[in-house]
Amino acid sequence: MKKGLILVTSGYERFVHWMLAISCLLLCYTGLGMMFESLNFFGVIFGGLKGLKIAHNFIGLVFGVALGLAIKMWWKEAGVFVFPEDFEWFKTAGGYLWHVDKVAETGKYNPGQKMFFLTVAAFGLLMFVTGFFHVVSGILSLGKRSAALALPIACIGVCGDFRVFLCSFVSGYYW
Amino acid sequence: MAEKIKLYDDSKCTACRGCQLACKQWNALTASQTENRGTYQNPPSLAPNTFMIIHYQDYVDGKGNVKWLFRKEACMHCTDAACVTVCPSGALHYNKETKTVGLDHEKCIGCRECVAACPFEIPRYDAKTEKVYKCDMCESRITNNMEPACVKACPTGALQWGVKEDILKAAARRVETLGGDAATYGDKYVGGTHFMYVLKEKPAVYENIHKDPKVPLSVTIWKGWLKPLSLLAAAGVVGGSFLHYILHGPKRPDPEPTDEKTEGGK
Repeated sequence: MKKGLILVTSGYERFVHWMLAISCLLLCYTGLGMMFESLNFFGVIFGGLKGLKIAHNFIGLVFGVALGLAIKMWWKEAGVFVFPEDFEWFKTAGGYLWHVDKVAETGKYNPGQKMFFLTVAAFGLLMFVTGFFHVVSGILSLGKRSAALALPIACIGVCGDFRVFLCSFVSGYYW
Repeated sequence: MAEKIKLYDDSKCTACRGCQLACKQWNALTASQTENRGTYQNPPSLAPNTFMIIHYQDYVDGKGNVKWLFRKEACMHCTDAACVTVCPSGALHYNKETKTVGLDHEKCIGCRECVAACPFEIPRYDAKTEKVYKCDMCESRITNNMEPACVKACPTGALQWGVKEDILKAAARRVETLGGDAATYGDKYVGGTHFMYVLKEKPAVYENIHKDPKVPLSVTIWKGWLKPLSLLAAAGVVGGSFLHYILHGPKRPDPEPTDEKTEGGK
């Protein structure tokens, strides 16, 4: 550790974070390859679309585990809002959207980060659950009823995209 | 080539099952071990190696007369086909000429989305080959100006293959001739099918018929509406980021406060 620097995240935190991030990006890549016919060529590096699908299923499991660990690990710090401090932050939108002289002090993570964490947690869980049904309904041939549960996976991809959209804005300010 | 459809007229069908055999032969499908289940209907249902069957049904009408009802079950080749919409690999596709629904097994990855989506419960999954199978309206024949194998084999004229408008007219005429409860089935659903029935009784009377087949709502919502939206969102990510970059650029860190003022953490 270099002198004058503060350790913000432990090695375990960084490991879980990257496990979640890498599996999520791989899921995006493999998912898009199946969602759009024009992107079917994404399957080439997996030895074809069938390989892509199998990889997608297993990466989904890794994603589920990573998500569970991440939620457990960050819930106390980033999962619950603390009032009134967080409310003060909201009033200024954290200084992101207009000029603010003084941004309210918050805990380790500010409410913006908390909202982002909660979005990841909620949609990640939705993604995992629907994906699980998607796989299982195929194996067990549960038929029509499960289809209603299985198909939302495509939509969750949309939400995923939207998340990245939000994320790019937020991180744009940090860079 | 004009859009063509297939017509099955149950009032002309003798259930000889010549079509079933011709289907197996043309598509080089294996036979299954049959079993006496107290009906002539065999095989009992569609299977990966059975693209069509004739249903046998003992039906007692309002006057107490026993009738035999037959029905040919096979892919209906929807105009708005849920299976084509959900297929991730393009294995299920519309035939460019006849608009029927073909299936390219080279591309099929066995995900079974079509099995869940089909309003008529047609596609069947084979665990051995890990692929899905169904009638493709003898794509190899119809694209070469021949009728499907089942139509070719039919000795009574219960099966016809022809230009859509002509078949629709012929079906309407036949229903009129039959009178009573006779009705057409198929032409009204899922944007019109490329396989339709003339039935001598009300469609609801037929066993295992799909009374109100439609594209599942989940397919319409996710694939029809939200899938295009996701493209918009993706474009938003790229466009928004770029716009932000050219308008605001990167954030430069505020100048560090001098050590003097912050000494002691106050």
